[in-house]
Amino acid sequence: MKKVLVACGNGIATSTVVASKIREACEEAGIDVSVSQCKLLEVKSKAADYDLLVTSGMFTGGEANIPVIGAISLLTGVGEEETIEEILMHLKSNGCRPAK
Amino acid sequence: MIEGFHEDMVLRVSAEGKTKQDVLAFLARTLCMAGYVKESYRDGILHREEIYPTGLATGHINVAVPHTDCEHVRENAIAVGLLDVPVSFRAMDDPSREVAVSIVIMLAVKEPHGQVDMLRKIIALVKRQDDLKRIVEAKETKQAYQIIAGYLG
Repeated sequence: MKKVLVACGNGIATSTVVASKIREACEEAGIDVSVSQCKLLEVKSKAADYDLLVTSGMFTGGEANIPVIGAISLLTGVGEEETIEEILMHLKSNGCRPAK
Repeated sequence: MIEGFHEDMVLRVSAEGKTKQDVLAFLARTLCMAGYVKESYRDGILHREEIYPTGLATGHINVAVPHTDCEHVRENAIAVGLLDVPVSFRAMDDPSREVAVSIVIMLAVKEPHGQVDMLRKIIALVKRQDDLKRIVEAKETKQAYQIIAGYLG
C-alpha cells in the first residue's frame, strides 16, 4: 500500500479537504492507499515514512526526499483534474497492488 | 437558516486604499462585536495570514478564506466581505505571489473538525466562478447571502 502525506498550515483544515479528495480519487481508480495529514512544519520529520507528499500551502521546510505535489488546484478548481492525475500516476507506479 | 451563518455577517466593504490587514481586522471585529469570537481572534487571524496566507487564485474572481485556531472562537460563524475593489492577498500555494481578492470568506470554527466540513462546502463554492460573479454583483447583500447559504446547507 502506498502512503501519502498531506500537509497544510495546521494539519487540520485544507489538508483534510485535499486528503479526502485523494482518498476518493484512489478509491475510484482502485488504488490501495493510506493518507495521513500533518502540519507543514512537521513534514521534515515525517516525510521519510511516506511515498508522496501533497501540500496545499508552500512547502519550504527543506528537503523532503520524496516526490512533492502542490495541490492548490484541489481547492481552487483550476487544473484540478491534472493534479489528481499526477497524484494517481505517482501512486500507480511500481510497488502498488494492481487495480481490481 | 444555516447554523453559524447569518445575513448580517455578509458585508460590503469599501476597500479603496485598504490593505488585507484592514479588511481582515474589519471582518474580525464584526465577528467579535456579534459575540462569535474572542478579542484575540483578530490577532490570531492576522498572524496566521502572515505565516500561511489564504488567497486562492480561483479565476477571474478570486477568494481568500482566512481562518485561525479554534481557541479564539466562541461560536461557529462565517463573515463574508464583498470588496468593491479587489485587495491584494498572498497566495496559499506561493506566498511570493499576490492574488487580487474580491470576496473574503472568514471562518470562525470552534471544533477543529467542524472547520473541515465548513471549509469543504466553501471550497465547493469558490470553484464556481458563475456563482462568485452573482455574489459580487448582487444588488442586495441578502441575495449574496442566499447564494452562499445554498452551499452551506
